[in-house]
Formats: sequence, C-alpha cells, structure tokens
Amino acid sequence: MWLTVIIACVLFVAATVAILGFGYQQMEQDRREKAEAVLARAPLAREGYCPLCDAPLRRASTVEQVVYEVERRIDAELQDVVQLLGRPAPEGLRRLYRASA
Amino acid sequence: MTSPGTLKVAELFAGFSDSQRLVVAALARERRAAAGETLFRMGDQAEAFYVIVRGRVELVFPLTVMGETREVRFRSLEAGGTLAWSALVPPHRLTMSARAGTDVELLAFERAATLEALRAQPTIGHLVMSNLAGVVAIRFHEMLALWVREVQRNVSQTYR
Repeated sequence: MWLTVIIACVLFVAATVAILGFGYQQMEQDRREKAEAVLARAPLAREGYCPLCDAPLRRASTVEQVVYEVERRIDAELQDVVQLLGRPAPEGLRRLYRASA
Repeated sequence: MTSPGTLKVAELFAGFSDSQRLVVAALARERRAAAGETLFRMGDQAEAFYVIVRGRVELVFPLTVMGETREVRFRSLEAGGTLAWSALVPPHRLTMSARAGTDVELLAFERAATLEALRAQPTIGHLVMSNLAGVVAIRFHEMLALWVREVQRNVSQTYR
C-alpha cells in the first residue's frame, strides 16, 4: 500500500518536472522567434554610427589628434588628386571626382 | 645679387634663357626663416611673392576644432615652388598663411618693382604670366577635385 503511494508520488513529481521543463523550453523558443523577427525588421547599424538614431558617433579625441587626422587625410587625398591629374585623360578624370569613404 | 642659376628650378621662371634669368635675379632679395616661423598671414596684402630655394614651406588655413582655432596644413611646397603668387594678381590678397616646415631659404620679389620690370620687358612678362597661369591652374584643379569629393561624400552620407 505504502509502496504504491510512494510510486504514485514519485511519478507525480516526475510528471510535474517534465511539464515545467517542456513549458520553459516552449517559452524560450517563442521568445527567441520573436527576438529574431524584431532583429530582422531592424535597420542595419553602420560602423561608426548610432544603431538607434544613425547619428555619427563621436570619438574621444584631443584637438591635436583631430588636426593630425585632418592633415593626414588632406595629404592622402591631395596625393591621390595630384597623381590622377598627371595621368592622361580620361583615365585620370574618371576617378578624379570620386570620393573615397 | 642672387645667382641666376638658383632660378633654374623655379616653376615660375621655367623656359627662361640665361639672360632673362639674369634680369629676374636682379629683382630678387634673399630671405631666410627658421622652422616653424610664419612667413605671411592669410588676409594680408601680398607685397611680394617668393620662390623657395631650399627647405619646405607649409601652406596652412584656420580650422575650428572643438571650439579652438588651429592652423591646419593644406599642402607643402619645396624647392622651386612659388609662394604668395597673389602678389601678381589683383586684389593682391593672401588666401592662405605660410610657415616654414624646415629652415628655409627663399627669394623674395617685391610686387611693385617686379610688375614694373615685367611691364618694361614684355617677353619676360609674358613668360612669367604664362608660368603663373600654369601654377594657378594646377592649384585650382586640385582644389576643385578636393571640393567635389567632399560634396560627394556629404551627399552620400546625407541621402542614403
């Protein structure tokens, strides 16, 4: 008699744990599917831009760093322009006004 | 007096005969500047133009960065390069500042005396102005290309 009761209790507990486990798995799967659907609809975030408002991200820089960066960029761009101006047209002209990223 | 041979590398005096270089050399005054020294400032009247004999000169423009105004290098010029050509073109106003990137030696040509000499010797005047047009055209094309690229970059970023 007691043995029957104990077996019934063990089975009841096992069934309860199993139901809870399956329920939790189902909830996780639903949540994952919803999250994937939201991500699929979200616009792609660009590197260097805010993923929410797409504003350019500001880096922590000093004035000297900015001046150095600007001068470096002008040097590179000017070097490219001078090189292209020296090439026979139209090969050079096609690329002359094309901006790099 | 400046040696006419010094003028051989000058872009402004390209195609000159020895006798023509001699005439121009008589107008030149030597000027030296230490690295970092300001040679002239943007907005000033261009009373003279310069030919670089030795060293490197940087053309700079003011840029406001985080509320502070700094001089940013636009381009560097070396031996033979022409500086302050605005002295030869009205309204004779300097459009950029210049500072010595290294210790430099320059030849300075006073505006009034040079223009008078060019008027008196039209062959030399024609050559100088032709070479000057070439120098200005190159700078103009460079600036135009940089400006168009910047506009293109802004348009690409704004209208995606």
